[in-house]
Amino acid sequence: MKKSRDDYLTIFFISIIGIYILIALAFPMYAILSKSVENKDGIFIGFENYQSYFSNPALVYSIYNSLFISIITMVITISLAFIFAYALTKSCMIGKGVFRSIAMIPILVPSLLSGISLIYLFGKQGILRDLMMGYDIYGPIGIIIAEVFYTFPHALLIIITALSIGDARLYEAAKVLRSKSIRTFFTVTLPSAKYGVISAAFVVFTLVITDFGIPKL
Amino acid sequence: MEQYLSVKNINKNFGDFQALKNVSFDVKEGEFVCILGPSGCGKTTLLRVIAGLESQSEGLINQNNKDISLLPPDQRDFGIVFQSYALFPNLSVKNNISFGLKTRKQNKETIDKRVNELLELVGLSDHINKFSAQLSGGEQQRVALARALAPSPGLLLLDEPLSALDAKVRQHLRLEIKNLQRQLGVTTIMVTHDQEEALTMADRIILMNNGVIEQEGSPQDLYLKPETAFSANFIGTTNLFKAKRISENSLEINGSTLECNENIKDDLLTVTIRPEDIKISKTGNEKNILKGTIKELEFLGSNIRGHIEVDFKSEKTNVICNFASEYILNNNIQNNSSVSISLQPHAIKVVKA
Repeated sequence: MKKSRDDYLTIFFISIIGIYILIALAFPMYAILSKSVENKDGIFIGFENYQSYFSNPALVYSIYNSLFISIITMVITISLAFIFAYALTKSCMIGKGVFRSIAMIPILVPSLLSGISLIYLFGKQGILRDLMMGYDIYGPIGIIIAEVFYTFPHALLIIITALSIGDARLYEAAKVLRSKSIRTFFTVTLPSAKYGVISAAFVVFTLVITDFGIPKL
Repeated sequence: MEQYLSVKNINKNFGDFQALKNVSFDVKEGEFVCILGPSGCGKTTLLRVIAGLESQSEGLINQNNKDISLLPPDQRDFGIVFQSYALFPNLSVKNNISFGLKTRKQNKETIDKRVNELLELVGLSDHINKFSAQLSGGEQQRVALARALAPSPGLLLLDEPLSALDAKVRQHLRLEIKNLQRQLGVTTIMVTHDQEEALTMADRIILMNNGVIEQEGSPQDLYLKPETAFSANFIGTTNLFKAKRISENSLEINGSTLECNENIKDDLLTVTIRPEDIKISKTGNEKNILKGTIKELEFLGSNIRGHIEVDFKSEKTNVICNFASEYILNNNIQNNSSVSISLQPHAIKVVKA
């Protein structure tokens, strides 16, 4: 079959994107990963580096810590963001705009800021130190609180969108079939927001596991 | 039969726009009523007001001798089928149908029995565990129908149930819904913009335009005795003319005097003549004979629709006629043939403009 102008155009743009990905993603990845199979003198040694890494308990423990923090943060953030988004999209409460804006502010600040402010509030010289009831803000609790604070607006943004594009006709169908609000929530609201919640969870997980700033403090 | 539902003086405003103007009608028990009208005439709004999904600005609704005007939808007794099916995509066919039974706290055996009964009724027993995405449009609509009927409602509301389906399925489902309705004897109100659907399914048609009821009556009445120009034009095809009164039973169209069987009182009139009531003059002795030229013939199978330029005295006017195909073909009538046509007196009907 003879190719049309559209086909050539498609091939052209796909090639450009392909070259871009090659230069910006594949080459740097290769540059880094190829070092991981070499020793200090640049001689190929196979997977020895990995072996020594995984045989060091402290380093393995750090991976376990990262995963632990990420998963806990993900669960807390998604639950909170879902409740918040549900209230913003489905209820008739007043001041929706104000609540939404306040919740969105942290999206503009670097993750470090939430860490610093938590230390100012709950740290060794913090003004609200007593509220910690003897627990220490410098450990996992502090990290999780700060990460939740940092990832909340990202999750909220995605879940609000997922909830507001739900099919209004399904709510009507449920209503005329005399469904109570809890049943409607589980048959209509939750399933239609499913993909939004899942993608928000991935976003939160990725944000937390790649974040350096907060744990460093 | 008794009046089951009566709708009185319903008005509905959306801001400045008045969607329903003083709409009143009654529905007898077991009757199949179609609300017919062009899009934007307020028919869907009317159905939603009856369902309680929209609240009327003014007016009363009585169902089964009970005032339901202000009740929310979940306290009214009806089942509804939406144009878009609105099946719950995450529930199986079985769970969709049983949804309205579970919310009414019925026990499991009763529910299972009822679901099987309904699936059999709509002919989908094999699909009990499928999800709506695995069903065709027609099958989905049948599930929606079963779901609406499951709690045995006193009133069934159908909101353009067939318009999302293709022509063959539509015709089939039309018959099926009609039979089902007759079999169950459930009072039904269907909204549609398709006049053929309304004519074939309804016991009575309520024709709406611009938020008011234009005419209501049996399908035959609406077709044969249209009261307004809108009714005549919306249901079937027709020719509309402006006319002047000459005497009680004769009038003038474009300068030509025609005899009719009406009792004419006004000086200026609108008349309708159905295409099938216009005959080709064979003997020359018929009444109201006019000469004309065939401009176009559309072959419709058993019929041929002719567009004829008719020589009225003061000007030539296009008229649509329906002829038997056999006659046209046998007499070798073609484009540009001259013909004499007869506008028979009984076919000329005066309507409100």
